[in-house]
Amino acid sequence: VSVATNMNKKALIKLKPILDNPKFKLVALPGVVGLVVILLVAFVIVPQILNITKINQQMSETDTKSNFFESKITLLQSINSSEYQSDFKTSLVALPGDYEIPDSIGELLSILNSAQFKLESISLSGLAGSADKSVPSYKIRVDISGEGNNLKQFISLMKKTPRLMKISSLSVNYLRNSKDIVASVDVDVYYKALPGSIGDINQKISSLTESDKETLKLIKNNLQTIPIPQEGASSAFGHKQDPFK
Amino acid sequence: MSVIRINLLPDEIKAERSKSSKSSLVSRLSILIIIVIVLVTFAVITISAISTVNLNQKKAKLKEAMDNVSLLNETEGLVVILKDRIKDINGILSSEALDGEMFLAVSDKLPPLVRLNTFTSDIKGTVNLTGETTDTQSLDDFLNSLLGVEVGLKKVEGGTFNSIAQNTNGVIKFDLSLKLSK
Repeated sequence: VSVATNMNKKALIKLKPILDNPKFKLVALPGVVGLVVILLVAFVIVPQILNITKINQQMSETDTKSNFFESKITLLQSINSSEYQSDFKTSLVALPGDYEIPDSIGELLSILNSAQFKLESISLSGLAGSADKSVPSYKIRVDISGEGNNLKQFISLMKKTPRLMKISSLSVNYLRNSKDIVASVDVDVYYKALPGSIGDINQKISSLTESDKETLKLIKNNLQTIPIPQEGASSAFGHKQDPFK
Repeated sequence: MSVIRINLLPDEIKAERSKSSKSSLVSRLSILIIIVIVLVTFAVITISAISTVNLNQKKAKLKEAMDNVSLLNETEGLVVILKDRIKDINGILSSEALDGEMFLAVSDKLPPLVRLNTFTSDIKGTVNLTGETTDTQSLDDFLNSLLGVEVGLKKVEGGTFNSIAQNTNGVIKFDLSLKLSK
């Protein structure tokens, strides 16, 4: 300890002329101040200012998201769930989540019956679906016979099917010396599987527009015009129980 | 009345005082700078701390909003799926069912003396008609009446007779292809 004290004393004696120097006195304090200022600016002020900028940016983003979710909550709370569920069921009538082959065939037979056509044969194809189609469909081919004038009625009724069905091909043979025809009609029947998930919480949603409501109204009206035959019920098929007869 | 100041101090003391006052000024300035920088540091740290607290509050509010949205996810799913399905339905409804339209157009324009034997049409817009008539003028009128007829978004641009023949009874048999605009 005494050796160390002696060494300190010696060092102080050596430094004394420097410390007593008036020039040193003049620059010592500003030098220390400058050093402290540089350290504070470099390690405290600048990082904190950058941090504040980052926090402000995050606050702005958080505000935007909060506003988005608040408006989403307001919209979702304003929705009448039971009404939407009913609309959803209506939409499933037009575009079911599965093939629903009995329903589509039943509807088609109901139309054929209304147009007084006799069904000669019926076949299905394209049940494997197509990957490139956003809305998959399968094809029902019906070979029919009946009076030629009724084909117009058949085509008109096909436009009013509650289930989405479209004629994709039509081949008509007019029988000689008769008003009757034999026709082969390809009908595309649409379906779309329900999604497994509803997507991202950040996705925008909107309530039904007037156009959407019009579409649902159209389906409901079509449903009244051509009711979908219920399983086991023969009333929708009219008087003809067996369409092949 | 003007005041006359006379400094009688020796030059050595004058120089020393001048140095001393300069040193004092530098010291004061240094102290002032250090006070200012310390204040600025505290201010920046305080603003940063307040901002962090505010951010945490906003994050809590956001989480609450997200939780509320999650509570309504059943309704959200219903809306999303319903909108998506209606969009698909509208897409299909707006697409054309060309064949039916074409058949109706041909039927409407068919003159009494022209009889169709076959009508074939598909989604690609290929329309083929075969038939017979005893009156060439009626056949000509039929073709002319079909030209320009609008079928959905398409239009009949022209017709081509694949074959046309007249038998000994004067019956003209024709095979006609209609061309629709793309």
